[in-house]
Amino acid sequence: MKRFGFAVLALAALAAGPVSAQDAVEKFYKGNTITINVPSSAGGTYGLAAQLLSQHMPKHIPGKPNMVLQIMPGGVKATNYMANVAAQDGSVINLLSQSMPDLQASKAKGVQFDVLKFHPIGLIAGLNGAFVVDDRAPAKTIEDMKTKVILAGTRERSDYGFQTVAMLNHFMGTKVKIILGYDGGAETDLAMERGELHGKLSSWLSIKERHPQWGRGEGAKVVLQIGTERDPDIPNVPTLVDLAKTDEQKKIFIFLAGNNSIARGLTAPPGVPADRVNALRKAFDDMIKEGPFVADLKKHGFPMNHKDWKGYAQMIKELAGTPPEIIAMSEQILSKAR
Amino acid sequence: MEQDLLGAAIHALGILVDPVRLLFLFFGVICGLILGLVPGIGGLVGLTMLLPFTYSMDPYTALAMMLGLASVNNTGDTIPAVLFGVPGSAGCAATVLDGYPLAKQGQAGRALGASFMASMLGGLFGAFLLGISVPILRPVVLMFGSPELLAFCLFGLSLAAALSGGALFKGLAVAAFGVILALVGEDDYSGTMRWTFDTVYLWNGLPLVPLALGFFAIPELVDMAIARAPMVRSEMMKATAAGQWQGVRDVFRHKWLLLRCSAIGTLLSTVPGIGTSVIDWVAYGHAARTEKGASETFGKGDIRGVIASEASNNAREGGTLMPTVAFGVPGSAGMAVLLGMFLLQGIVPGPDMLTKRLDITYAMVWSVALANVLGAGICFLFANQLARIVLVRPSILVPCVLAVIYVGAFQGSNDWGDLYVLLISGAIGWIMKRHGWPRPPLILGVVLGEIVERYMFISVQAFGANFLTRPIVMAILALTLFGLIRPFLKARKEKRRIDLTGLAYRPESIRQPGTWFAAFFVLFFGYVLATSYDWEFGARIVPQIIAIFGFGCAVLQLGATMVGKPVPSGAIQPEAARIMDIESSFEGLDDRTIARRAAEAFGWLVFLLIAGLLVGLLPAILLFMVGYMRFGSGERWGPSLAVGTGLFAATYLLFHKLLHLPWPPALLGRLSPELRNLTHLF
Repeated sequence: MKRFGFAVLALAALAAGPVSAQDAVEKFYKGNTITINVPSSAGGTYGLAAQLLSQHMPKHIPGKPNMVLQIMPGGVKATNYMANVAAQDGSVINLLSQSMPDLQASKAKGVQFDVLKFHPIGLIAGLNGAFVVDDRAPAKTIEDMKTKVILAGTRERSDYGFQTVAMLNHFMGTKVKIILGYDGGAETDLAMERGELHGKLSSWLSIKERHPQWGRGEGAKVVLQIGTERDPDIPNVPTLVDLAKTDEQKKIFIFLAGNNSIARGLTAPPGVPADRVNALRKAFDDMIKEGPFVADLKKHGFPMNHKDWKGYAQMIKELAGTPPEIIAMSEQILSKAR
Repeated sequence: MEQDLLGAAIHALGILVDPVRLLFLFFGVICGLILGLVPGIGGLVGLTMLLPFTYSMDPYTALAMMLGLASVNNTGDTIPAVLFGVPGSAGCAATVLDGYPLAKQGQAGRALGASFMASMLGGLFGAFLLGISVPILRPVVLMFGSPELLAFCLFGLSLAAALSGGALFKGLAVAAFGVILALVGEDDYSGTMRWTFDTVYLWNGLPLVPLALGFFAIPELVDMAIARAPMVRSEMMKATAAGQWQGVRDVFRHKWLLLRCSAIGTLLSTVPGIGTSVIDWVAYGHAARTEKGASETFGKGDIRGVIASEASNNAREGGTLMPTVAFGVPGSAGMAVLLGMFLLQGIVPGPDMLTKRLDITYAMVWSVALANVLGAGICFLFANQLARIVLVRPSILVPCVLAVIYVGAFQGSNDWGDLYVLLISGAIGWIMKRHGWPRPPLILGVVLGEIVERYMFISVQAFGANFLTRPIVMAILALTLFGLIRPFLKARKEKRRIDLTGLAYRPESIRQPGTWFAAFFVLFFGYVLATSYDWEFGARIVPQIIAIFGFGCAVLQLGATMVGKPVPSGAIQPEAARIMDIESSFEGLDDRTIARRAAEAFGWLVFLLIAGLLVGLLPAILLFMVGYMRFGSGERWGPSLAVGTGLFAATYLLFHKLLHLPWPPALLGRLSPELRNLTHLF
C-alpha cells in the first residue's frame, strides 16, 4: 500500500511538473508584452519579418502576450543592447543581425556579445544577396567589370555590401569602385535611379519587394547572387561560389555566403530562463506548422527555407567558428580594400 | 492629367471621410499630441507602438492613424517649449527662443495661439505642396543628387552666422564645436575611431536627443531653480483666450513670413537626413536675416520667431512624404516605420504611387491636412488650462520636468551614456547661456556636421572636383556666399570702419568667466587638432578644417575679450554683443548666490543620475522628486510625497505599461536578478 502511495505521488509529480512549468510561463506572458528588437530601420525586410512575427506568433505562446517592435538600426548596436541592457526574462527577443557571428569570429571592434550564448528560437528565412546593376552602367556583366569601372554604394566598411564587393575585386579582378556613406538601402536605390551609382548589393528579397521592375530585369539586372544555393527566382544568375577558381577562393566565398543563410532569424538574449525559451521555440514551430505565417512569408516573397531552432543554432555555430586562417585572409584583403 | 489628379484627390477624400477612418485619424492625433508634449519621446516611439494595430486595418485607415500621429507631433511639442523653455521634441528648439520669453512676459496665450495657427497653416501648406507636385515629384527629386544635398546643408550651416546675432566669433566657434561633436564616433570611410576613448557608447556617435535636451532644456530648468520664483506672477498673466486670438492675428499679419518658412520647411525636409531638428533653425535663421529689426528683438520674445519655427516644422510632414512616396526613401525614422507598414500592406512606393495608386497618395495628403486642422483645434481648446502651468511654483515644476527629461534622454540610444551626455551638455549649455554664448549655432553644427561630411565624401568620390560645376550646386553655393558676405558689404556701404585706436590689454578680463570660456574653446580646438593629426586622410580632413576655423574664431574672441575693443563697428561687437538666444537674468541675486544655487541644482541632477545607477531610473525618480521638493526647496512632506508618487505612477503607466520603453540596468538589478525579472524596472 505504501508503495502504491509513492507510485501515485510520483505519477502526480510527473504530471504536475510539466503542467506547472507551462503554468509559470503562461502566468509570465499573460497580459505581458514581448518586444521584438529589430536591428535595422523599420522600412526593410527585417521590419517586415518582425511585423509578420508579431502578427502570427503571439497566439502560439502560452498566455498570448502582445508583441511590439523596437526599432534599433545598427547590427552591433542592437546586439550589444540585447546582450547587456535588455531584460533577460523573455519579454524582449530579437532578430539577430545576419553578420553578427561573422563579426564576432573576426573580433570586430565594438562587439560586446557572444552570439553562441543567445538562444536560437527559429530561422524565418535565409536570403540570398543580389548584386544589381543599372542598365545605364558602363559595364553590365562581371566580365565587363574587369575592364570598366562602375560605382557601387553602401553605408560603411563593415557592411557585406562593401566586404563582398571588395572580395570580388580582389579575386576576380573587377573594377567596382565602392562609394561609402549612403544611409541605407533606400538611399543607394535612389542614387542608382538618379545615375549617381551604377549598382549595389542587397538582399534579393528587398530588391524584388521594393523594385519589382528591377526584379523583372527592367531598368536594372542582377548579375551575381550571394548564397550557398541559387535562389529559385533567379536560377540563371551565378552565385559568388560558382565563380571561385581555387579552393582558397571557394572557402572565402562560402564564408561570405554563410551570412545570408541566417539572414532573418529569431533569438532570445542569453539570460532568458529555459522554460520560456522552450515555450518560444515551440510557439515558433507551431506557427510554422499552422500555415498562415508561411503563407504570408510566401506572399511577401520570402524563400521557403525556414528552420527550427536546432537547424538555426547549427548554422550560427558554424559561422562563429569559422577557421582563423579564413578570417585572417579576409581581414588582410579587406584592410587594403578602398 | 490635372483632371485626373483632381478626380483622384476628391476620390481619396471620399474614402477618408468614412467615420471609422476619421475616428482612427482622431486617435492618431491624440497620441501624437500627447507624445509631442513629453520631451524626448517623439513620433518614432508612437508610430512603432501603433504599428501592430494596423495589421487588421485597410491601408487608408492605417495611413490615417499613422499620419495623424506623425503630423501633429510638432504641434504638441510647442507647449512645453513655450511654457517652460523645454523643447517637446528636437524639432521645436527654435520655438523656445521667442516663445519662452513671451510666456515669461505673461503672453503665453499669444505665443501658443500663434504657434498653433502657424503649425496648422504650415502643415496645410506642406500637404498642399505634396498634393500638387505629384506629377513632377519624381523628376524633381531626381534632380537633387548628393552634391546638391551637400550644397543645401552648407547653406544651412552658413545660417550659424545669422543665428549668432551680434556675436559672430562666438557663434561660429560654437557651430564648429557642434560639428566636431557630430563627428565623434567611427568614421564610415576609414573605420577610424574618432574621440571614442575606447567606449562602445561613443563608437556610435553622440545621439541628438540628449544633446538637444541638455543644451536647451537643462539650462532653463536650472535657471528656474535658481530664481525660485514662478516664471510669471499671476497678476502679470494676460487673459489667455484673448492672447490666443492676438496670436492668430499675428500669424495673418506676417503671412509672407509664414509662407516663406512653410516653403523652407517643406523643401528642406525632402532632403533625407536633414530631419526635423534643423529645419526650425534654418527657418528661424532665415527670419532673423530677412525680417526688419530682427537683430534687436529676436530672442527677446518676438512673435515672428515663433511663427517662423512653428510653420516650418509642421510643413515638414508633406515634404518628408515626397521621397517616401516617390522613391521609398524614408525622410525620417518615423517615415521608415510608415514604409514598413507599406511593405506589409503590399504598397510599393515608387512610380505606381504617382499613377496607379494615386488614391493612396492623396489619402496621405488629406490625412496630413485633416490631422493638422484637428491637432491645432484640440490645442486651442486646451491652451487656456495648459497656459496656467507657468504659474506653478518652480519647487514643484522643476523636478517634475527634470524627471521626465531623464526618461526622454535615455531614448537617445538606450544607454547610460545618454544621461551622462545630458548632464555634461546641460552644464556647458548653462554656462553658455549665462555668459552670452549663443546655443542655436551648436545644434545646427551637430545636426548638419555629420551629413555635410557624408555628402562631401560621396560627392568627391563619385564626381571628383566636377561636383562643384553642377548648376544647382553653383547657385546654392553662390546664395550661401552672398548671405555670408552681405553684412560686410552693408557695413562697407554705410562706410563703417574698424576703429583700432585705444587698444589696450584689460587686466580685469583674466578674472571674467567670458575669458575662461573663450580659452576653453581655444584649448578644445587645439586638442582636436593635436589628437587627429595622425589619422588617415579621410578621417581627419573635415575635423581639421573645422577645428582650424573654430580655433581662429575662438582666438579672435579671446583677443576681443582681453584686449579692449578691437571691434569693427557693425557686424562684430563682442562685448556689447546681442546674441540670438535667451539670456539669463536674475533680478536681485548676486553672483555668489547664483553660483551656489546653480551648484545645488546640478548637485540634484547628479543625485538623480547616481541614484538611478544604484536602484534604477524609475525608483530614483521617486527618491529625487521627494528629496528635491522636501530638502532642496523646502516644500512640506505632504505635497512632496503626493507630487512625487503621482509623477512616479504617471511615468510608470505611460512609459512602462503603455509605451514599453526599456529602463537602464542598475546595480540593484545586477545584485538581484530575481527582483529585476519581477519588476522589469532596473
